[in-house]
Amino acid sequence: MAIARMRKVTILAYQELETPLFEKLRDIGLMHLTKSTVAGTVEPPEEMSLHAATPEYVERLSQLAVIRSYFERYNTIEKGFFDMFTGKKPEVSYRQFKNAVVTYDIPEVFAKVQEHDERLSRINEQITDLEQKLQVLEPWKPLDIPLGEVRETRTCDTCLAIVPSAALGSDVLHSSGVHYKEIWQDKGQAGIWLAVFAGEASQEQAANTLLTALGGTRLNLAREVEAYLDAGLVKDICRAIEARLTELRKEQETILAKDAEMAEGLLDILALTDYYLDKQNLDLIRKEAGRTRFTLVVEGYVKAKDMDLFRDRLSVFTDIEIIDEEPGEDDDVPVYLENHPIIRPFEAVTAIYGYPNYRELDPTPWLAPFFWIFFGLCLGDAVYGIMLSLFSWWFIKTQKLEDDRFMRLLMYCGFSTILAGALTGSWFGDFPVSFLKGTLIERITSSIVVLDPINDPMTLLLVSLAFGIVHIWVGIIVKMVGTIRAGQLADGIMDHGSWVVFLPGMVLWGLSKVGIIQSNIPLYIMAAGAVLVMISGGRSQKNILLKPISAVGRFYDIVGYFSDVLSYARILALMLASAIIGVVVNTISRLVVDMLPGVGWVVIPVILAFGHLLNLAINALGSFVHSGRLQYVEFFSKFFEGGGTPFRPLRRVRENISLTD
Amino acid sequence: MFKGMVGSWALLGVGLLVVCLVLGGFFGEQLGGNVLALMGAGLAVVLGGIGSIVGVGVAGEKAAGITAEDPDNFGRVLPLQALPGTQGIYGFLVAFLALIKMNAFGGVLSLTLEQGWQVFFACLPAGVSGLISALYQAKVSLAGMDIAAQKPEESGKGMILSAMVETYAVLGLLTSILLIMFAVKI
Repeated sequence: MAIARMRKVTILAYQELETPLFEKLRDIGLMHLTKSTVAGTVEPPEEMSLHAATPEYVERLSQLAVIRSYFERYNTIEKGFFDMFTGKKPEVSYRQFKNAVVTYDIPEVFAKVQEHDERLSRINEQITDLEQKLQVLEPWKPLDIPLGEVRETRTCDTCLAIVPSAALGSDVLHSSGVHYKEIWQDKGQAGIWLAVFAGEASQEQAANTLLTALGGTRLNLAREVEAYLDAGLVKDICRAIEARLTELRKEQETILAKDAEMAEGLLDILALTDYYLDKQNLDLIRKEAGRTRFTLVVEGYVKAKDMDLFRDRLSVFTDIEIIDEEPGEDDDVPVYLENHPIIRPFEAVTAIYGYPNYRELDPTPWLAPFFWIFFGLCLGDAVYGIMLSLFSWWFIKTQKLEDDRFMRLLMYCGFSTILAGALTGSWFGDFPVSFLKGTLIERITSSIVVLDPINDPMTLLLVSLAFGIVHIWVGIIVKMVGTIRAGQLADGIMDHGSWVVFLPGMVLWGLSKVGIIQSNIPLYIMAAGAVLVMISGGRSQKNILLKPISAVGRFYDIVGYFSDVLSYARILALMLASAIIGVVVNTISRLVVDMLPGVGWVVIPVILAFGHLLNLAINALGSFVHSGRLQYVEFFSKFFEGGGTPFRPLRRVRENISLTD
Repeated sequence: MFKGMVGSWALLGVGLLVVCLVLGGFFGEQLGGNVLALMGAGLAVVLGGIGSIVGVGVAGEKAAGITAEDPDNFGRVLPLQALPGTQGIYGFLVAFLALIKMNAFGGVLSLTLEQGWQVFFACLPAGVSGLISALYQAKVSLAGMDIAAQKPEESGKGMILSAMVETYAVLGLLTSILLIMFAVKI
């Protein structure tokens, strides 16, 4: 069967065994745990209740998050281009993982990281500050008086000031008791050293009055660089500041180097994050277990075929009791799809819609051939198919995916695309005809053409709709089989079997009407089907008077089937789209040759490569979603209930890394 | 923001169509069949194009935001962004078919007024259904990206939901192709 049989498992153990038991279950990875249904469960012990101290992992995880974002400034883990699509995680050996757990001192690294972070930001602040000061001091370098001496004395006010250049000629500056010296001039402004004799009367910044009159401003450079005044002259102060800057930069570099070295351990941090996430996860799971005063009740599901292995692995615990039983009617049994390797990739299609519930049929084997054919028809180009298959095959080989179902699906769909392309004569669009006319390749490719979609779309439309009819018909059969399997023989045969007979009867009858089939048998089949449909319609109606109405009303379903079938016209449209765009790409490249004689042949490969790759990418996406839609909307609606929970055994958390042996 | 704009973009496209119709209706005689046919081909590209440009554009913005939060989501949101892009290609496809039908690559165009109108109207189903379906498909794609962001493993469902809208662009395309191939008599 395609849905794996499950056993409902209950484990009884002493509470002392709790931690080792859950860790063991995680390591085995065979059991899907569910919330315990044991009645009269006592509260979890004190340590697990809300009032208990916060568990260690909470603090560790927040520290690890800080360390991680800090390290990521220095170190990034190399990611391949395709990892963006596959979400592949960096590999860590089990040894390194264990080593990290035992030896890595998270609190110490955390403290270091915090200290470094703080120091670095302080250093940065200082550097910016000093650089600004240097900039301010720069023009004053020619000043030949120590900066510390430019200040008020008892009788004289000296200062540095900036005045408009025009003011230098002002009489005020040349009056008695005023001395000035020009230090620099730039952009209409001048920096001056100014001394104003104030006399005994007013020492209070006598220069200010004068500067106000000139429209200048007084500078207090000395206060800005107080710590460096001992150096004396401005140029010496500058040198001292520069020396300090060098010192700071060196310190910064040392820290950065140390950080870069520490950040080598980023992989360890990722591994540790997973380690503590795993602890958190186990803790959450533990809370789902049932408890009595001394015992622990763990419930869940294990695949029936894994049951012996499961018991064997748990045999290290001598004091536990494992009970396994057939799941009950009301249990929400998790679903694991188990299909033949050829069908397996198509589980990816089922999974997009959602899992079937435990008690119904797995739709995967039923949808697989149709999805395969529809995808091939929609894309419908042999070379695209070859490219798709080769790419997927190479991808599976090189990327070592954990779950390669999707890529395998693409590879298989590539085969059907090759087939459809060969039968419709589409190889890179009309490449053989337009570029290789008369060659052997052209003769071979055109000899296997069965149908030309561009010149004969009506036939292809009929083919598409015919596939639709078969698809829907199979859907009804699946429903019938499912109903009969569930023990409702009469319902299965009457409600669904009637349509299984009626629909093909109607189609065949239609064919006989247009003269394709010379026989009366289709009419009899259709009539028999119609009678069955009417009986099934009447059956459901309890009121004897309404029975005939209900019986005839059943035929209204035909409208639904009819509109379902029309939906398959999209197969034709998508096939035409990819085929014609292929032709367009070829046509454009030929036009270019005509337009640019000589060089045209150089441009052709570029146009062809770009155009065909774009066409492949866009139409592969379209083919996938539309083939999928035909399954989900037209096919599944006939029989599928869904709503199953996927089987997810308790396993080690692997969010950031993948463990290797 | 975009959700409120959908109507305006659709209106812009339909406005263009009306302008072309009015031009053709009043000045058809002067313009001639060739111009009408070329207007139709152009409309198919432009209408599908507007829908796809706006659709892929807004979807791309949101996709970038989601990728910024978690770069691993890139592969999941990319197809969702690409989905409203097909309509522009369908429009281009129809225009190209119309040009081939008109023998535009083979020499002198000489369509009668009636043939011009035939090509014009044959191009419309793909253009108009492309325009409106791309805009609304983008809305579904945007919502689908929320699925990809919050439940990454379920992002395939967002793609299917988005593809439902495209159905009508596909039908428009199919109709235009059949009309150009079989109904237009040149």
